[in-house]
Amino acid sequence: MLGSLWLIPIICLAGAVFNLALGIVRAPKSAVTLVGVGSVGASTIATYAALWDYLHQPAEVIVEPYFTWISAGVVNVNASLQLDPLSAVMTAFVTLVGFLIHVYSIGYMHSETDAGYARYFAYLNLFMFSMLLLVLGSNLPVMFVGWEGVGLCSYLLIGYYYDKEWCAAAGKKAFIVNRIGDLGFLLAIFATIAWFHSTEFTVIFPAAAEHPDQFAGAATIIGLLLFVGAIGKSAQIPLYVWLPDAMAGPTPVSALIHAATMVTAGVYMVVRANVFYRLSPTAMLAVAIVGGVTAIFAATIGLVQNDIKKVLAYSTVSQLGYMFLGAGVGAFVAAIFHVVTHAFFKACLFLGSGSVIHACGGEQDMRTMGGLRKHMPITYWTFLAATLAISGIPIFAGFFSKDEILAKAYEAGAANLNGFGATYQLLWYLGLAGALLTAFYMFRVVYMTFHGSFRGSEETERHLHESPPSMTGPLVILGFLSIVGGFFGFPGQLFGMSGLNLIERFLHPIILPIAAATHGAAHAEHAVGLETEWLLVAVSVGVAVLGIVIARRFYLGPKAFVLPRRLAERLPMVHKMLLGKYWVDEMYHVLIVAPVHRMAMICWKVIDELIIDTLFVNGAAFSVELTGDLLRFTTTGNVRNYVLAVALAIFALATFLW
Amino acid sequence: MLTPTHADLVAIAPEIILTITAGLLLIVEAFLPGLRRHFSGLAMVGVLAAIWARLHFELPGAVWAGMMQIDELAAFVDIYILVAVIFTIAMAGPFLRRTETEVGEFYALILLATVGAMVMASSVNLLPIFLGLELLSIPLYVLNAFLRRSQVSVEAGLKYFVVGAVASAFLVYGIALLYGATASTDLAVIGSQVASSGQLNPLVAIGLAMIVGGLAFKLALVPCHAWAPDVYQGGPTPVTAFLAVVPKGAALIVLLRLADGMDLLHISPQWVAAAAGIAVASQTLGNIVAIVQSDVKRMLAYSGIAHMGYAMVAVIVAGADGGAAVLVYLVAYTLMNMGAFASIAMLSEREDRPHFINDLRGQGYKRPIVALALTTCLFSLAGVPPFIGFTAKFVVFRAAVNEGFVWLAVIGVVNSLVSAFYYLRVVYAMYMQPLPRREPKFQFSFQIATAAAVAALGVLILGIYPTPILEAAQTAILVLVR
Amino acid sequence: MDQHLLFLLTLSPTIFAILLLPIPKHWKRVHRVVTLIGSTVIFAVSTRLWTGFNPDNPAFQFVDQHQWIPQFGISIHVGLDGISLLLVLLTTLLLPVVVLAAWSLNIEHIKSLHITFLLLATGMMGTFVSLDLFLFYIFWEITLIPMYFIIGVWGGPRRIYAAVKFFIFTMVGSVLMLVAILYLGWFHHQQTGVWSYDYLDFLQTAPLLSVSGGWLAPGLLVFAAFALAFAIKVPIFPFHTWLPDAHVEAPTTGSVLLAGVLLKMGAYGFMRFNRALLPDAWDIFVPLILALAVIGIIYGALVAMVQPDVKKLVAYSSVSHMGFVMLGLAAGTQASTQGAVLQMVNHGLTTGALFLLVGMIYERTYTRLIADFGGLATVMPVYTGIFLVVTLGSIGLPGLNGFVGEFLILAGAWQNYPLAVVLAGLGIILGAVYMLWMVQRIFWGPLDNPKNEGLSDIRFRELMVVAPLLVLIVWIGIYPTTFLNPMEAAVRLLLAR
Repeated sequence: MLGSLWLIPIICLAGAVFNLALGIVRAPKSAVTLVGVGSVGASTIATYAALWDYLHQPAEVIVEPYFTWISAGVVNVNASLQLDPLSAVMTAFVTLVGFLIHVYSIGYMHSETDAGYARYFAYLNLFMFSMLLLVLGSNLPVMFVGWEGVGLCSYLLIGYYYDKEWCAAAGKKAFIVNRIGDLGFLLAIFATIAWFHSTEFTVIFPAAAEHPDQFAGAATIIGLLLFVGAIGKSAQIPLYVWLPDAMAGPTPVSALIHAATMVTAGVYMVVRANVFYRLSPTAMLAVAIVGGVTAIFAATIGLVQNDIKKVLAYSTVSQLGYMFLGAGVGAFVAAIFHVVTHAFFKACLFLGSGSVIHACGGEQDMRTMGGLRKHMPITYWTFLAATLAISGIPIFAGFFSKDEILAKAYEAGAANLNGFGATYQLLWYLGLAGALLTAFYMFRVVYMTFHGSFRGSEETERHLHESPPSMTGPLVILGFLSIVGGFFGFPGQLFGMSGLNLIERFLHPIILPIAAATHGAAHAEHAVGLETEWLLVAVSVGVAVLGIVIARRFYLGPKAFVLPRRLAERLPMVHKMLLGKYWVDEMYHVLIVAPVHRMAMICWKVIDELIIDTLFVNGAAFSVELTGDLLRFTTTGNVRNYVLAVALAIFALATFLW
Repeated sequence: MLTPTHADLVAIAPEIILTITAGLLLIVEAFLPGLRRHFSGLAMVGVLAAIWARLHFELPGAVWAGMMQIDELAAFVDIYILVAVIFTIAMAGPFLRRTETEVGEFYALILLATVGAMVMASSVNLLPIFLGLELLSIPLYVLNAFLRRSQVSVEAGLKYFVVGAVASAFLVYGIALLYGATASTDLAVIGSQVASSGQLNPLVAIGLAMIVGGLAFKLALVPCHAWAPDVYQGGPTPVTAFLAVVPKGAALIVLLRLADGMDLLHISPQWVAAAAGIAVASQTLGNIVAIVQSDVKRMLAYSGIAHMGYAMVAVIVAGADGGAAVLVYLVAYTLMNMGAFASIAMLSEREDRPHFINDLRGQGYKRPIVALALTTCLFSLAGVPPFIGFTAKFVVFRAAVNEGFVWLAVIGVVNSLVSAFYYLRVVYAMYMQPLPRREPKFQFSFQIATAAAVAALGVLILGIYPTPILEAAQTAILVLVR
Repeated sequence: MDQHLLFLLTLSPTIFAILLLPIPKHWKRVHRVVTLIGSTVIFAVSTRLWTGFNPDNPAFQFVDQHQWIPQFGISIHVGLDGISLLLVLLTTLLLPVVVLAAWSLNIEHIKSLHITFLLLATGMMGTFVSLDLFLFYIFWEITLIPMYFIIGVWGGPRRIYAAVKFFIFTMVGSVLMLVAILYLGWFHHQQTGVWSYDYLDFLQTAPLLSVSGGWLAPGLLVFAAFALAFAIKVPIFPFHTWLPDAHVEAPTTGSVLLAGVLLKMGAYGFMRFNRALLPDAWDIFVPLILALAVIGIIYGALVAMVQPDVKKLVAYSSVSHMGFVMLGLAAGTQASTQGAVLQMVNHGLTTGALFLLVGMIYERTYTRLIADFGGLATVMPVYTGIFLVVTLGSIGLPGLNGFVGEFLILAGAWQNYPLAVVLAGLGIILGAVYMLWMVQRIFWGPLDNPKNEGLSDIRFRELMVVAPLLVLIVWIGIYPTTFLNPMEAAVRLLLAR
C-alpha cells in the first residue's frame, strides 16, 4: 500500500460523492449503506495494509508528494501525505473507530428518509476523508485542509436535522467558534512560512530542533498560535462552548466527531509540533494550564447535567483537558495514548447512550430513565466497561493513559520543569480532583440510567428493547477495546522492566532530540523514585474509587437522589452556577455577540447611510442644486438688469486690464 | 476709392451666392407665394452652392485691400458655419410649416445673417468685422421674434435686440479707442504694436475690454449671459439652434484673432486672469444653474454658457494648440447642439409652450431614433467618450495642461462632471420613466429626424475618429499663428 | 490572425450588437439566440489567447497597434500580459453565462438589453487590453453608459437613483484621471520631446515624476488622481456606497458583470497604472491603501452581517473581499500580489455565482428579503447544495477557490505587515459569520413561509448557468497552478519596477 497513501482518504471522498448522487436520485438505503460503509471499510483495510508495509520497512518517515498545490513567491506548498509513527497511530484508530461507527449508524439511522440517509452517509464519508487528510498531511496547509474539512462536516452533521432551528444554530455556532481557532492555525502557518520558508513537517521540526537558540522566539509564537487552533478544535477554555451544543447532531456523529476523532485533532497538532513546545516553556505552560483548568472546569459542569449526552459532552471536554495537560507537562506520548484510549471508551459511551436514547424513543433526560440494565444488557455491560475505563480503574484502558499523564504532571512539579514547578504542582492537584469528579459523574450516569427502577412513562417502558446487532456489535468491540486497549502502553517501568510500553517505544522517534539543549528540555526522566510512582498510582485509584462510592451513596439504594437534593439546597449558589454552566454562553453573548451586532448596525445606519450617503453624497448634490436655485435669479427676465450687467462687466474688465 | 478686383469678388463668392439666394427668395415670396413649400429646398441649394464655391476656388489669402483673409482658417470657419446653416434650414422647413409661418423672409434673413457671420469670421480688420457683426445681429433680432403670435417669441426678440444694441455700441466704441491707440483698424497692425509694446496701455486696455464685452454678449459669457435663457426659450427652435452656434463661432474667431495677434497670453497677466475668471464663471454658473432648469431649451442655454466657458480656456491658451482647440471645439459644439435642437424641435408640441423635460418621459421607446440621437448628443455634451464632445474637451484641456494651466483643466473636468447631472436627467426621463398620462402629441418629421440622426452620427463617428477634423483645424490655424 | 486577434476580439461584441440592430424588436428569441451564440463564440475564440500565451514571457503579448490620432501620438495599442489575460478570460467566460441567466426573464426591451450588454462587453475587455492611456480612458468611460442603462432601465424600484449614483460616482473619479493622463503626456513630451500617451512610453518617463516637496508634488497628485478613479471602482471604503445601491437595483445581468468584472477594473488599474507607472508615489501611499483595505475588509463584513436583503449582503461582502485584493496589492510581495490577482478572479466567480443564484430565487419569489425565506432546503435541496458550495468558496474553505487567494494574500502580506494580516483575519471570521447566518436563515429551519412551499428546484438551464463557475471554483481550489503560472512572470516584472 505504501506509495499510494492517497488511496486511503480518496476512497472515502469517492464514497461521499457517490452517496450525494445516490441521495439526489433517491436511491434505496441498501445501496447507500453499501457505498457508505463499504468505502470506509475499504480505506480501513487500505490503512492497515499500509501500516503493515510500514512496519516491515526501515524508514521512519515516508513522505509522498503528489503535486504542487499552491506556489507563488515565498509560498510553496505541496499536496503530499506522510506516514510516520504519529500519523500511523492516528490513522489506525481513526479508521477503526470510524468504521465501527459507520456500521452502528446503519441501525441508528434506519428510520430516516432515503435522501436523508444518503446525505448522512455522504457527510460521514466526507468527514472520514477530511480526518484522514488531517492526520496524514505532511505539511501544515494540507493538515489545515483536513482541519477545516472536519469542521465543515461537523457543521453539516450537527445541522443534519436542518429543519430544526436549534440544530442549524448549533452547527453554525460550531463552525464559527472553530473559525476563531482556525485563524490562529492560519497565522501560525504564515509565521512558519516567514521563518522556515517551508511548511513541511520533515523540514521545519528538524530545523528547529537543530538550531534551538535561533528559533526559540519563533517556537513560542508559532506554538501559541497553533495552540489557539487546538483550543478551538478540541473545545478547551475559552472556546469549548460549541461542543455541548454540538450534541444536537445524531448520536453516532457525537461519538465519531465530537468524542473520538475530530476533537482530538488539537492534541494531535500539539504533539505533532512538540519540538516547538519543548523549545518554548511559555507555550508549553500555556498548554498545561489551559488543559488542567479545562479538565476540572468541565468536570464540575458535568456533575449536575441531566441530559445524558450533555454529561458525556462535558466529560469529553474534561478528558481533552487531560490530554493537553499531558502535552503541557511534556508527556506527549501519554497524551496521544490517552487520545487513543479515550477514543475507545468515549465512543463506546456515546454509542451506548445512543442505544439508550434509541430505546427510550429519543428521550435524553436521565431523570426519566433508570433500570435499563435488564432491558438492554449488552448496552449496559459495554457502557459499564467504558465507564470503569474513563474512571481510571486499573487494567481498564483509561487507567494507564490517565495515570501516566497525572504521574508526568507530578514529576513536572517535582522536577520543577522549566522553573514552573509550583504551577505544575497545582495542575496535578487539579487533575487529581478532576479524576475524582469524573468517576463520580460517570457512575452517576450509570446509576441513573441503568440501575434503580424505570422513571419514564409506561408507554416508553413497553417499547424498551435491546438495539439491533448492527449497533450492539460495535458496542461490544469498543467495550472490549476499552478494557484491553490500555495494555498498548503498559507501564513496564513500574515493574522495573521498561520496553513493555509499546506505544511509548513506537512513538519515541517523533520526539526529536533537541540539539544543545540550552532550553529546558521537557523530559525530566524519572525525577521521582519508583515507590513514589506506586504511591501516585494508589492515590489516583483511590480518588477514583472514592468518586464511585459517593456516586453510589447519592444515586443508588433507598436514599437515592435525597442527598444530592439536600446538597443542592445547602449550596444553592454553587448548584445554580453549575446548572447554568457558569453562564459562559450568556457572558459571550453580552460581551461579544451583542456588541459586534450593535457595531455593525452603527456602521450601516450611521456611517454608511447617514454620514457618507446622506451627508456627503446626497449633501453634495443637494448643495449644488441649492446654489443653482440661488444663482438662477441672476436671470431676472428684466432687460434693464441685463444691460446693466453688461455695462458693469465691461467697466470692471477695463479697470482690471488697465 | 477702392475698386474690387476680380480676385476680391471670387474670394467672397460664397457670400455673394448666399446674398443672391436671399434676394431671390424675397422676390419669389412676393410673386409666387405658392412655391413656399420649396423655399427651404431653394435656400439649401444656395448654401450647398456656397460650400462648393468655398471649396472650389483656391484661397487667395488677403483680399479687399487686406481687410479680409480668405485662407484655410476662413475656409474652415465658413464651411462649419454653412454646415450649421444646413441643419438650421433642414429643421426650419417642417417647423415653420407646423407653425404656419413659413415665408421667404425667414430663409432670406437666415442667409443674410450667415453672410454676416462669414464676413465677421474672415475679416482681419475691425471695420468689416463690425460690419459683419451688425449684418449678423439685425436679422437675428427679427428672427427671434418671428413667431408673431407667440408672446414669448416677441419678448425674446426684443430682449435680444436691446442687449445686443448696447453690446454693439460698446464694441464700436472699443474699436474707436483701439484705433485711437494704434492709429489703425487692422488687426495685424494693432496686434504687432501691442505685442511689441509688451504691455497693455490704458487706451488699448479699455478698448480691448469693450470689444471683449461686445463679443462676450454674442458668446453669452458670464456676466453678459443673462439674455441667453430667455431668448433660447422664446425664439423659434431653428433660430435658437442658429443663434447658439453661428454667432458664437464667428465671435470666437474674432476673439482668437485679437488674443493671438496681441499675444495677450504673454504680455498681459491681467488678461489671462480676467479671461480665466470669465471662463470659470461661465462654466460654473452655466452648469450649476442648468441643473435646476425644467425647460430643455433653457437648460441648453445654460449648457451653452458653460461650453463657451470651456472654449474660452482654449482662447486663453491661443497659439497653435489653443487655436486648433478652439476650432475643434466649435465643430463639436455645432454638431452636438444641432442634433440636440433638432430633436427638441421635433419633440415639442407648441412653440409658445415651454419644453418641459417631463414631457419627454418615455419617448425613448416612442420615438427611438430621435431619442437616441438626443441621447448621443447629450452624452457628448457631457463629455463622455466615445463622442466628439469628449474629444473636443480632451483637445482643449490638453492645450491648457501643455501651457501649464492644469488648474483650468481641473476646474473644467469637474464642471463637466456637474453637467452630467442635468444631461442625464433628460436621458432617464426618456428611457427610465413611463409615458405621462396625458401623452404629448409630437408630429413626426422625417426631415428633422434625419437632421438629428445625421448630427448624432457625426458626433459618434468624429468622436471615434477625430483625426480629419484635427488635421483640418491644425492646418487652418497655421495661417493665424504663422 | 494572432496579431489582430486581441483587437478584433475586443470589437467583436460591438459587431454582434450591430447585427442585432436590424432584427425586429419583437423577435425576442432571435435576439437571445444571436447574443448567446455571439458571446459563446467570443469566449471560444478568447481561449486562443490562453493557448497562445507564453507564460514565461513577462512582456505584453498579442500586441496590436494601429495608427489613430498621430497628431497627439495616440494609437490603438492593445496587448496582453499574464494579469490582463486572466481578467479578459474571466470577462469572456461571464458573457455567455449572463446571457443564459437572463434567458427566461420576462422583461421589456429585450433587444436593447442585449445590445447594451454587448457594448458593455467591448468596454470591459478594452479596459483590460488597452496599452494607450487615451484608449484606456475611452474604454473605461464607455462601460459607464451601458451599465447606466442596464441599471436604470431594467432595474428595481429605486433604479434611477442607483443608476445616476453609479454614473456620477464613477465619473467623479475618472475626470481627474483624465487630467492626470494629460499631465503625464505633457511630462513625457518634456522628457523626450515626443508626444505620446502610450503606456509603454509612460513606463519610461512617468516614474521620473518627482514625489518630493510636500503633498503638491506632481507625482503624488497624479497618483492621487488615478487612485481616486480606481478606489471608487474597487470600491475602497469610504467610496463604496454606490455599490450596494447599484447591486440591489440592477438586474442579475448587471449585478453579475458589475461584481464579476467592473470592480476588477479598479484593482487592475491600481496595478497597471498606480503601481507600475508611479512606484515612488506608491511606496508613499502604501500605508494609506493598506489601512483602507483593512478597514474595508472588516467594515464590509460587519455591514454585510446586518443586511436584510440578500443582494445587499453580497454587495457588502464584495467590499470586504475587494479589501483583501487591495491588501494583497498593497503588501506588494510576489505571493500577495499573485494572490490578489487570483482573488480578483475568485471574487468574480463566487460573487458572480451568488448573484446568479439569488437571481434564480428572485425569479421564483420576486423577493430578496432574507426574512421571506427559511427552510428552503426542504423544497430545493440541489439548489441549496450548490448555494452552499459557492458560499463555502467565498468564505475561503480550503479545497475551494477562495482559500487559495486569501492564503496567498495573507501569507505574502505577513512578511511585511503581520498586524494588517491579523486584522484581516477578523474579516475571515466575520465572513463565516454573515455568510453562514444568511444560509441558516434562508435554507435551514422550518419552511415557515407558505408562499415558498411550491418552489421548484434548480432547472437544467439554470444548472448550465452556474456549472462552469462551479467547475472553476473547485478547480482553482485544488489546482490553482493553472492560473498562478501565467501571471507569475508578469507580476514579477510589475514588482521589479
